Amino acid sequence: MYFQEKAKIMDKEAIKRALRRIAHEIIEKNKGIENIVLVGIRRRGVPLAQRLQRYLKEIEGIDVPVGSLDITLYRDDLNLKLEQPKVGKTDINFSIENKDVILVDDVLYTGRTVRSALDALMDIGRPKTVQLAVLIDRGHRELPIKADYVGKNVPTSRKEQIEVRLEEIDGVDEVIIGEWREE
Amino acid sequence: MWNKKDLIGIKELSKYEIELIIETAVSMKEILKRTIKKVPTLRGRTICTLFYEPSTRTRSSFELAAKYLSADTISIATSTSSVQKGETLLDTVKTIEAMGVDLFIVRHSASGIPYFLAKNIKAGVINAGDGMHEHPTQALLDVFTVFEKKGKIDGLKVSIIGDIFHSRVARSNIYAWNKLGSSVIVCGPPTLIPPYIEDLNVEVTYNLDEAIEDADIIYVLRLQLERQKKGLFPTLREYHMLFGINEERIKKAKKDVLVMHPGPMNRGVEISSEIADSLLSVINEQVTNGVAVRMALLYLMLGGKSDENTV
Amino acid sequence: MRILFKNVTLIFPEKDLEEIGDLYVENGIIRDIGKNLSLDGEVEVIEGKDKVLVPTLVDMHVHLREPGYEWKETIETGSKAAIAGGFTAICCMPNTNPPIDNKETVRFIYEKTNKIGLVRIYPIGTITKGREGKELSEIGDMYMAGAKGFSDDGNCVMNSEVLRCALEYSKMFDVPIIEHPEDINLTTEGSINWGKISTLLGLKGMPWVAEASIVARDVFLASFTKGKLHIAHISCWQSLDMIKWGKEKGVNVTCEVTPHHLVLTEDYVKESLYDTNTKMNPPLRTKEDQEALWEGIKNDIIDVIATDHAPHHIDDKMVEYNLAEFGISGLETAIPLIITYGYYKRKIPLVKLLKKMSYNPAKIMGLPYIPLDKNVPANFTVIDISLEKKVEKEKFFSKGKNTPFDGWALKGWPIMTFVEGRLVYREGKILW
Repeated sequence: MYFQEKAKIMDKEAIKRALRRIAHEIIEKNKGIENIVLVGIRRRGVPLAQRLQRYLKEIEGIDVPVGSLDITLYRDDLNLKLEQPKVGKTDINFSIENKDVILVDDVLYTGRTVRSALDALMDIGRPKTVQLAVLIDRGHRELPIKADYVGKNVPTSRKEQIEVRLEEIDGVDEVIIGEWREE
Repeated sequence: MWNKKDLIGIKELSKYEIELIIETAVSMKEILKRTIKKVPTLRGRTICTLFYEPSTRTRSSFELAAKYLSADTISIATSTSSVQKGETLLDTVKTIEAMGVDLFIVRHSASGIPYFLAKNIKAGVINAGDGMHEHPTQALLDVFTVFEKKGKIDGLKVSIIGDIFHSRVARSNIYAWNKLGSSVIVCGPPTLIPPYIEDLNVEVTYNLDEAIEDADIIYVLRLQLERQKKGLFPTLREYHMLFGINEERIKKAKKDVLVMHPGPMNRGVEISSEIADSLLSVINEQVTNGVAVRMALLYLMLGGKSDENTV
Repeated sequence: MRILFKNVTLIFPEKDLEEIGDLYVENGIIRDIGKNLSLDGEVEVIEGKDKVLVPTLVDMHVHLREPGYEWKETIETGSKAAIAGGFTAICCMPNTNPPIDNKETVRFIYEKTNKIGLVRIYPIGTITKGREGKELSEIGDMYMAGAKGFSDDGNCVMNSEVLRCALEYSKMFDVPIIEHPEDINLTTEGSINWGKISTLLGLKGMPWVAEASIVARDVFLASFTKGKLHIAHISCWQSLDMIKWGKEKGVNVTCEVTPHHLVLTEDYVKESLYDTNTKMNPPLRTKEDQEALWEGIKNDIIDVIATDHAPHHIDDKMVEYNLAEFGISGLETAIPLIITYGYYKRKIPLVKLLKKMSYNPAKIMGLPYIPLDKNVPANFTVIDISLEKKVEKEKFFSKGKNTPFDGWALKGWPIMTFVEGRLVYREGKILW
């Protein structure tokens, strides 16, 4: 199997613009950010959350807390995966009680990851609201879940694959659409 | 990644596997700090603790680890099962397996029993201590505790003090530290040192001061009091005089030495209360970490694909 | 019945001789031995030097379990296993229930044997009443009823005075006192050899000194009493050294070794992950001991190879290692093990190996020995030393399936067994 790239749908600038827009939308929707905390879903949601924190600070001058959430232990597909996922560490060293939690992830697809993340979050505390921010929404939801903030809507077929690459993890900022093919 | 149906001894683990368990345990320990100490990972999985020897901490530790991961548990102890009706061990285990158990956690006084069961049943087996052979989860929690305290698990000098001969804890710890690149010295009266122990790549000394000097970790073993009745050493008093860890003896040790004990302790015999309750002692952390390490193992062994789905 | 063996290997253990030749059996009697025999009329011809004819194979150390433990073995199943293993005679140990410590039980064995009529079975009586190591049994009465030797096998005679008396008393019948050498104070709760593997596996050990110290004591007692001593199943080089010393000093001592101590070491307990079929008494020892035992075979310090056939029911073995019974089912694997590991692997001459399973035990026990000779009943075994096949415990005639050798490919199997003129076993089938 190999990954055949078909098109670059976002570059560094496009990602930056999208995240800045989301930052503005968060401020607008919540009428300020005093009660906001950011929680990135490991792994690529975490750097995205950290970037959002920077943009929020640029605009509002306030440091909002950022944490990371590992959802491995909450997945509903552990029995189905070929390889057992490594458990990462959840690192939220602030209270989420009564906070407006912005859950951040790279791609919204079936909605199952977000479902797991919601369960994981509820075990940690009781937020006032949970809002969802994603860089890409590629459709094909299997659960009644909807993003509050979307960087880019990308209609895809199920065969296609979206790859979000970020500086912090992959050394480059870009979003690629492609397909896994047989040799 | 993890591909073992059973965990019987540290001897069979690779360095990588030990590190994977420790790494996973770090994540598990975060859950233990929460108010709601429960994740749904092992929902619908069933774990049986089968203890043919009395045990408080190991059994509760495994059961809590299973419950925190949402597995269902049943527990069988010798006093409450048909073990006493003259049923063979294998019949007992097969009966329970037939009720749909995925994993057995077994403690037994006969060395080798986990191998015997693993050969004869489909469910997984975790050794919770077999005779004088191994007690792998104890060694794993010990390593994890040292990792937390020292930030590393290689290049350390570990001194294990006491009844090495009859100790499964000693054997598992020797294997673990060797694999991780730390050195081990064992110390006790010659009657409690097993033959050919040097072949396991350990140093042997009968002199406690020698064992304590330069040690990063002093690992004190529990002394089974009935050994004295068998004539392996003359009196408890003399044992404490020669091998007991107390404030006087520990002066020879490094300032940042860690004192460990697998419990339960005989205070005033192998370890004095002053030391057991001192800042050097990590005996209570060992207990907490036992739960985290066992959660890590249960996740690794049961959290992946179930057998029915194997391609 | 006319069978002509042509160009086969004939073994004459009593003459330390092996040669290629012909042998003709007619109606159970060896009619001719020589070169280039030719016969008229209808005769079955068995040809080739890989067919080895050896007379009067004796296993002098067998546990038949009857009376008392018939679910483990009976005289009948043990008889079948013996001839399938190539033996024409066996001696059975007295640790039955009741033990063979009286004339009646000795006679019971003979009567049962004669009714079955497959292999010759010679009982060994106990040294002490009830095998308790306290008072001498009626050695004379049992001797006159047919007991050929005396042993408390399974138990060591721990009381030196009792053993001294046994060695003295038995002199008047010229029968061997067969000792199971084990200082039980040193082996309490032990399951395997005391050493590296017992440390690794966390099993209680049985140290060599438990065996060798008793061997030393017994050799001294035999020297002191001028009695006839045979040491059963020796397993360590220290015992061998003591026996060598005794023999050099002219002490009337002989000894035996089992095939499994020659073939296996303590490492196999670990490799087999605590397979209870590796649990035996004396335990499997070290590589060094194993080498010494083979050396003892070569230099004749070891007189006899005997199986210590110890059949057990599966329920006695499918348990915790420390609770499992000691011993293995040995009759049906002894010959192929010795041919494979002694003849092929160690290049020890066949006659040397087979003498320790025929002439020597027959002499020590005072049993009838029928050589390959003209005008004697056919009482020999044909071993096909080029036949290679796997050990299949489920096909054992013995009730005891407790073998560590299941599935092992071995070379050199008995294919015909003649007992006193009758062909009783041929290629997997009991014929009589």
